[in-house]
Amino acid sequence: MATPKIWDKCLSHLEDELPPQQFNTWIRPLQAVEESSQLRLLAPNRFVMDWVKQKFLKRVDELVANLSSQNVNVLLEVGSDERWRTTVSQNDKATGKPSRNTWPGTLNPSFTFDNHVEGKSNQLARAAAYQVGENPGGAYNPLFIYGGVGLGKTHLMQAAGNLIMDRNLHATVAYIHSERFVAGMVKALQHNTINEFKRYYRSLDALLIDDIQFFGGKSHSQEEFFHTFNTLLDGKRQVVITSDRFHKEITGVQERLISRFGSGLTVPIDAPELETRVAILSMKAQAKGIELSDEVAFFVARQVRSNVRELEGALHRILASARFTGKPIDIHLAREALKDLMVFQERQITIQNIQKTVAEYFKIRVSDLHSKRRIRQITRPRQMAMCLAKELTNLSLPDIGDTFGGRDHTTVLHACRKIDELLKLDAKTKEDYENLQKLLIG
Amino acid sequence: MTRQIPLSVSLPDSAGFENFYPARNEQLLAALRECIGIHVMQPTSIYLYGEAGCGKTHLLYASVRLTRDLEGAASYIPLHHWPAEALNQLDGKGLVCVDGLDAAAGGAAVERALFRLYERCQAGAGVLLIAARAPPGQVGLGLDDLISRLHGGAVYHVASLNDLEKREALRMRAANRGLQLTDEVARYVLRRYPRDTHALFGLLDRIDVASLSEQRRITIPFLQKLGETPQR
Repeated sequence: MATPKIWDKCLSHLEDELPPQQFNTWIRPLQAVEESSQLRLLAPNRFVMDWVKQKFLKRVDELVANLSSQNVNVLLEVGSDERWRTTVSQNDKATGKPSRNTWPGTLNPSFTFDNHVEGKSNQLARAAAYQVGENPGGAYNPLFIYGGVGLGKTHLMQAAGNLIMDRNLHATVAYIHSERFVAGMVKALQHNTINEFKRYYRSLDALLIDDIQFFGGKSHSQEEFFHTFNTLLDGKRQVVITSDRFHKEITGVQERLISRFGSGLTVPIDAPELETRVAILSMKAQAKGIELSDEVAFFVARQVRSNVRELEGALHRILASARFTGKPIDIHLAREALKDLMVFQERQITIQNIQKTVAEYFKIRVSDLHSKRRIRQITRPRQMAMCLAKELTNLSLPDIGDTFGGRDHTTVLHACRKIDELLKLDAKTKEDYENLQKLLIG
Repeated sequence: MTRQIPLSVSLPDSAGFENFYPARNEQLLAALRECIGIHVMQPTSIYLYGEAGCGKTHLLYASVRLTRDLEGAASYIPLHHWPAEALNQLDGKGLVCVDGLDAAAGGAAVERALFRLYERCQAGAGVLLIAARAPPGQVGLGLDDLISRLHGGAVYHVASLNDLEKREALRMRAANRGLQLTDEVARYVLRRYPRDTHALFGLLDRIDVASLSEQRRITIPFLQKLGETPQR
């Protein structure tokens, strides 16, 4: 259905007149139905209707009166125009495969490569996922993506799935969290539909299974997954798996399954570096119709370092604050909106706190970190503490060196390089570093 | 004098947004009403934290009420009273309020159940509204996947009322019931009785019943006669 012309013009005026948040929140959800001398605006619920009536209806009336050659009455009510509803894909009928509506496993179309931000931390995983999307069932099968929480594993996995479907309209791709896979299987056993369950998963062109570590200790589900996995791989169909840890470190999962996880391509995702965090924030803001200045984006990205979800949480706070106060999003508003978070971080992240936390973690004394002792049990924690101080505080390198027994800034630089190198090569160092970050950041 | 017997069903404090004294929580209230009332750009989870008595449960009730007023589906699960299995029964559609996360934090089964519920809410376009005493990273949760998801939603601190605000809140609640509580009486209550909001609003309930029953205005002598035990 074509958008009504008068409403179209109104929208364009209102978009110019209102702040983007207000326009996107209150005006965009309205559906318009034009009937002879009447424009019916349908709000999704009474709350929106009341708000629009109170704040914007007068202006809409004026615009309609100005933009229309005849007398048009504007009517605002709660409702939904059936013609706006999208039709359900007929792919399943066309392929004759079991319906995807029977079992959970719907891809989220909003996860694409276009809205994924590439950085050093996810470059490899992104390239691999893209290849899988372009060429499913090819060389990277299974694709195993691992990394900490909130770093974008699910986004990449689903972007690969969406690309597969873009390239082949008839492809059947299912995304499922491993917990839902287990729950679905239990339900199928209870309802005596386990054969349909098996047939569905084994008939897919691509299976994307998220957070596989949740399979730990669930031997029956692992058994079923093992057979599904083999069937798909034997049929040159794609499997993508994510986990919060390297496949060999998953506990409570059968050895044969773990070894198969590693039989394709295994790629890590690390925490995003500052520039990537800035880019992610800007893109997420843009998706909500907001332009974020570099100053604000850098400010937020410096406050929130651990993962992408927390960046999103911070953005929610800032947007809510801007909506409430009606003020533009600048550094003052962002600082005020994130006050609670900053108080918490400032309390936690001092160089003394870093040294104390590292010393406690490695069971050494804080004075050891300040000392000149050069045995491995002391130097490694010291280097790690220096590296954390560089990452988590705004202190200069000479200042950091000073707090470690009057060391030179080149010592700090060397320590950071050493730890960076070890993070790539040594799983234990990586684990220690991540644990310390968690202890300090929360 | 004939005593009037009050009806047992009378005077429930309806926990709606209109009956919540906003104090320093105005922005939170606006954001919450907007998240509940509209269905665009809302996060999967809204997490409220603050110390006991700051009004978290009231806000959860109010959200349930608003959702139902808008003919939406809403459920309320107090984790300190209900077992974790209750979470497994919810389909993740509409508004799901989970109160007292503190009581459940650290329990592997309940955290997994909550995580699954979050996933269902995300898939079903539902909203998970959670209340706890501390922010997600400090409430004692062990499941990192759950913590990060909760951090990714909207996280709001509910500021507790100071004495001046408690006085105003007490007077507002009294006025909403048609009672007149003078500033002098409110000050007296704050000076002499336990000052946590549960105790204060509980006291107001009793004063209300007694004043109706005895057909008396609320004065300091009336409070003294009530026999409530003030703090010395």
